[in-house]
Amino acid sequence: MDYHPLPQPDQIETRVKEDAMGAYFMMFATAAMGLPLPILNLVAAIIYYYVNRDKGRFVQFHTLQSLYSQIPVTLLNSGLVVWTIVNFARDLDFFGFYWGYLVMVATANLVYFIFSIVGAVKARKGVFYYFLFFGKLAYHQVYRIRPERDQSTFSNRPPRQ
Amino acid sequence: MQRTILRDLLVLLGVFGLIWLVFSLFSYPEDPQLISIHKEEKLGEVYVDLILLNPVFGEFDNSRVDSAVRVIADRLEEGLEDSEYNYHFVVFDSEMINAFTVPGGNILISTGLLAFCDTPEELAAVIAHEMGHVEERHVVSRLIKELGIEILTSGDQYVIGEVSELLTSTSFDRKQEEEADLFAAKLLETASIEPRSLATLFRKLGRRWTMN
Repeated sequence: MDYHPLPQPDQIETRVKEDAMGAYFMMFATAAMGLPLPILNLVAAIIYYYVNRDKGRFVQFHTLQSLYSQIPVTLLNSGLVVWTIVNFARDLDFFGFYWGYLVMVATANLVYFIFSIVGAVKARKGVFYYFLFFGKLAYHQVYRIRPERDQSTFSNRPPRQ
Repeated sequence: MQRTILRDLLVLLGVFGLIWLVFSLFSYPEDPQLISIHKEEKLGEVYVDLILLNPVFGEFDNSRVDSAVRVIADRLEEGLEDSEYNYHFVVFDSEMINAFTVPGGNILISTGLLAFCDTPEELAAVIAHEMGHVEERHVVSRLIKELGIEILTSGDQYVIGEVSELLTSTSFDRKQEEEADLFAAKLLETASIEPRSLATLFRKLGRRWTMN
C-alpha cells in the first residue's frame, strides 16, 4: 500500500502547525466541561475534526489521532461514572473489579494526558508524533493513497421512460 | 501497516486489561481468611467486654431470658453443618430494637428486640440472620475493609475502641444482608422453623421505621 509523502517541518506553515496543536489542547478545555458527562468532550473533538479536516493532511492527521485516542478514554470514563452511580445506588462496595477498573481508567487518562501534551508540542514544531495504535491508524487513514475511481466506467444516461 | 496497527491494538488491550486484572485481584487484602477463627474469637472477647462497658448497652441479668434465647439458638446450631464457631449470645438492656454480631461468633441482642418479637420464631429468624453474618464472615470482611488487616490485628487500645464503635454503628452492605437473609432462610428450614417468620419480622420492622 502506498502513502502520500510526509511534509518536513520547514515545509509546514505556522498557522497549520497551530491548528494541529489545537487538536490536543482543545481536549483539555472540553475535558473539564465534560467531566460530569464525559461524552461532551468527544462531541467537541468530532466537531473540531470536521471543522479542520480541510486544512491539509498534517492537521487532519493530528486531529484524527487526537480524536481516535479520545474515544476509548471517553468510553472508559463514562463506564466509570455509570459504575460509580450504580455502586452508590445499590450500596455495593468499591473494591475488587471496581478498584481495578478505577486504577486502569486513571492510568489511561494519565497516559492520554502525557501523550497529548507531547503530541501538541510536536505538532507545534511541525513534527509527526505517533501514539501507539492511534498514530498508525490516523496515519493510515490520512496518508494512504486511495485508488482513484475510473471515471470512464460511468456514463450519464437519460431517465427511464 | 494493517498488521502493525492490529498488533498495537492487541498490545494496548493487553496492557490495560492486565492493569485491570492485577489491581482487581490484588487491590486490597479484605479476604476474611487472613484472620483465623481462633484469632477472631480472641478479638471478639475483647470487643464484647468493651461494648458492654458502654452505658448504652446496659447489663441485663435474667437467667430465664438467657435460657430461652439459648434454647432457640441451640436448635439453630443443630441445623448448622460444620460450623467452626462457638456461639455466644449476650442480651443487653436497651429499648432499641437491635441485634448485631461481634467477631468470633458473638451475637448481641437487645431487650427491645426481644419485646418486639411476638413469637419465638421471629426471634429465631433474627438469630439465624446474625448467624448468617458470622458464618459468611461479614464482620471480619467489613473490619478489614474499614481498617486494614495490620491495624485490625495490632491490639492497640485506640484501635480496639474504634472497632467497637464500628461494630455497633455501621451496617453491612446490601449484598451481605441478602447473603445473611438467604442463609437464615435455609437455616430456619433445616431447623424446622417456619422461614416466613423472617419476612414477617422484616415487614414489622419496615412498618415500624415508616411510622417513626
